[in-house]
Amino acid sequence: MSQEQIPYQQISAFQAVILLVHTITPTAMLVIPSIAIGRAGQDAWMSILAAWACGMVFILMYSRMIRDNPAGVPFLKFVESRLGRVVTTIVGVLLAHYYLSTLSGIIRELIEFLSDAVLLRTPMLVIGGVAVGVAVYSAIHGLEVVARVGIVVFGFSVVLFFVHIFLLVDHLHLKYLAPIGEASVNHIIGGSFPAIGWFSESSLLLLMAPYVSRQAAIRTIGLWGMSLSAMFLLLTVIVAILVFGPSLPGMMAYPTSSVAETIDYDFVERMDVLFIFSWMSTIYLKICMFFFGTVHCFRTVFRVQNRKPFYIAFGVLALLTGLYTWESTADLSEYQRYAIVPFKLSMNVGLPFLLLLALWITKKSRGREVDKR
Amino acid sequence: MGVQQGTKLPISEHLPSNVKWLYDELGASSDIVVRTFSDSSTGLDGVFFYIDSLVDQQTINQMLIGPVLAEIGANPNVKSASDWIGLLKNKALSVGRLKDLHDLNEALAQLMEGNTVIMLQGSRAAMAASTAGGEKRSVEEPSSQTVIRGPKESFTENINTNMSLLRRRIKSPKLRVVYKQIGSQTKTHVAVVYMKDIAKDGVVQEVMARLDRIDTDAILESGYIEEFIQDAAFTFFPTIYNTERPDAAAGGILEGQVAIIVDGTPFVLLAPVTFIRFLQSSEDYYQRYDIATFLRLIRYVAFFVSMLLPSLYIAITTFHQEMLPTPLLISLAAQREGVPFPAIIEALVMEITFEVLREAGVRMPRVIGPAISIVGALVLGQAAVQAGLVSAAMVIVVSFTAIANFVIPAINMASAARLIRFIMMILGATLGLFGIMSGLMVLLIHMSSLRSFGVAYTAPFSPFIWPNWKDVLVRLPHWAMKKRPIAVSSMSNLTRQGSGQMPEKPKKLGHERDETRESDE
Repeated sequence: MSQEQIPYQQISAFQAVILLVHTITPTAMLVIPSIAIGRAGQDAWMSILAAWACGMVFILMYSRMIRDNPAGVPFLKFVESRLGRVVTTIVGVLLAHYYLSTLSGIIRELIEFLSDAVLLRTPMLVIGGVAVGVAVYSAIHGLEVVARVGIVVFGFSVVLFFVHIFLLVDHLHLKYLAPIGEASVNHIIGGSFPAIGWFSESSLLLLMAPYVSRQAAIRTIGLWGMSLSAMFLLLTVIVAILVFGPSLPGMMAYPTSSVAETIDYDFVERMDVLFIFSWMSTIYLKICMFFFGTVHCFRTVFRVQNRKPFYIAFGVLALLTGLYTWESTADLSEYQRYAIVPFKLSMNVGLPFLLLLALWITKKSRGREVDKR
Repeated sequence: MGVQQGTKLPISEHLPSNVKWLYDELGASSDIVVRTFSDSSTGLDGVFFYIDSLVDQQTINQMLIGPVLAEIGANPNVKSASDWIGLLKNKALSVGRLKDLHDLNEALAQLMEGNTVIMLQGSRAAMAASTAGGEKRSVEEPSSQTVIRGPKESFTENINTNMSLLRRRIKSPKLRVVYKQIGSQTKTHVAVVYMKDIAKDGVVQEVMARLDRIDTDAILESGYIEEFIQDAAFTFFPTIYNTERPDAAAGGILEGQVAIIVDGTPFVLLAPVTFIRFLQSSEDYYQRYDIATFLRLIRYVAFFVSMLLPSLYIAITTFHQEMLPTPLLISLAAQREGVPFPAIIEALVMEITFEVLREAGVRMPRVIGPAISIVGALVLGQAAVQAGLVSAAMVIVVSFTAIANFVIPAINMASAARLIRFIMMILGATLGLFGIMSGLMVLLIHMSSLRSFGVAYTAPFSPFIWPNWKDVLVRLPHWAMKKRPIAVSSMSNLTRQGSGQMPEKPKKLGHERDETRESDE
């Protein structure tokens, strides 16, 4: 069934909110605490709040862009109808490239994390291969099935997330949050940049919107999705500070998993493994969403009818890119700290902003033409 | 295509040629009975034609042959064959169902149903009287879906008995029954039963359409139909529910499901169905809601245990030993010290042994059944541990898994868990918890992609339908479940009962005396 056949591939507003959360949080919870706490110390939570405010502005921009997008028409087709084929091709290729690059990054993050935390001797190709296989299987079923899976995974992972915080109660030290406001504004803003980059991934809303059953609620969906994502990230950062203080998390590769490692009761140890695997199910969904973005842009630009073979092809491509682009963990870490945020912002904010301007200008000029007639 | 009807072959006025045609078509079988009767005064010549092994002899003797013979000689004015037909129909033949026939193929079909065909010389019309008989099993207790509290009746192999069991429970004129015949050779009767205005029209039409599409020579059990009409051809998970309990079928029909009753089997199909239905028992609605909720939660846990426990054991002991507390780890390591196999081989050997024992238990004659438990418990359990072939922990894991599997109320869902268990064990042994988690994701994706007659299989979890949650993980009291489940029932008629029926402590009436105070005084 083609993705363009909206009546079949339709998702509810609630499913869209959850998909948006799955698009942002899985990798954000892994990568951001280390960078944000490293820069803003115990005031890193303020960085997340600042990033959340920016994220809300992004959502307003995206919802403004798709306000004129008729229901059921893919975003790029709408852009084509307003800005022409050439612009659409350029935008589509850029977005497809962005989604594929980010997809490879996510796959590599997953591989690195699992190799580092639990599967020390399993070859990276096997871990990546299994992950991509599962994600391809899911993406092939279409956005509607991914959305349904998203609800179940969200339910389980939220329960486990709060259970994990509850089990940490003994290890939480409120004094680590003090003194509040010690970090300078520069540091707080510096700490918020990675989160802003990740929150900009909500631009997938542009591609997802035509499949949402309640078109009028897109803005609300976006705002809810962004707020929930920010809440989970905020809790993760605060818990990391409360457990390790303001200095240690910045030196850790994955403070989120290190926090879970501290859970230790007599009857069970290393509960972090369970949390890692519940987190893994969320990252599968993130991979699915970026698969959707890649294949959707590719298909719309090149007018390809059959999507299934492309999921497999892009899966292999993303896996190989993920495995061989970064030679070491240090390379990946450097990419995440310095290159990824500008890349995300340029594609998720810069490009849509230019498109918004162009759409606004064309709308104005069309309006004038109509008035003249 | 339902019934493979032949071409029309009109009944001839020449009685012997009709009889010969029917006789030849039936291969001159020994159980064919052609009972002739005649009246020389009026020139009447006729036959009762039936198949002895399909009819109720008493009905034929008392309701057909006796009354007809009584009319012979008593009606000298009735001369023509058509007048005799009218007379027999209106006066003599005292059976409930009487059908006019004009076609020999139809007459043949009626004979195969166990009916008796009455033909007269000189008439192009004949009659088929309902005389179907034969031995049938009485209504007994269900053998596979037993309950402690609740009706003890089970469906039987007879479709009419099954229909009466349903009709007696739902005395509503809105109960609709549509009969079909499927199978070119077996011509099996299939009844589609649903509640008008409660079942979704689209679902009813889809059921009818899928049944009409079946083109096969034989339907011997409802399992045949299930495989022809289910939504997904390749899946572990059943997308059609089956039950031998009339109360469960009635409950399903009253919630908008469509029942398919197949002659020759006590197992009735119900569709559409969602995953959670397979973990619910009809007893949940007869027991108090608190214990019903508790048992339901136990069943959910048991489902996951039966699917995942051996694989988790393998994954944790092979890949993630750090998850275990040190004393337990030492104990497990000590148990496994002398075992020559890796955990996966040990688990596979034990699981396959259990499956063999289970299959043997089903197939073996009942009198030697207890021998199986002795062999299983002593020889393959205790002896294997003592011989150092398997560890005691593995025996516990496999036994608990097996017991957990029996907790699942629907056997077809229990079978799905059994099969998935083996795949999970291999994933756990090769990739540890990562493999199990990936396997679970694939299962979840697969389940989310399934539909049962248009209804999402994972509802009400996803799509999330909050009103249905009153009867999913918990079972709220009946008075709190005002509406029918949204995914299955017709949206136009969701309310099943009035509101405000929660029992309250009765207010004291004026004439009631305060016994306590009086006794104090």
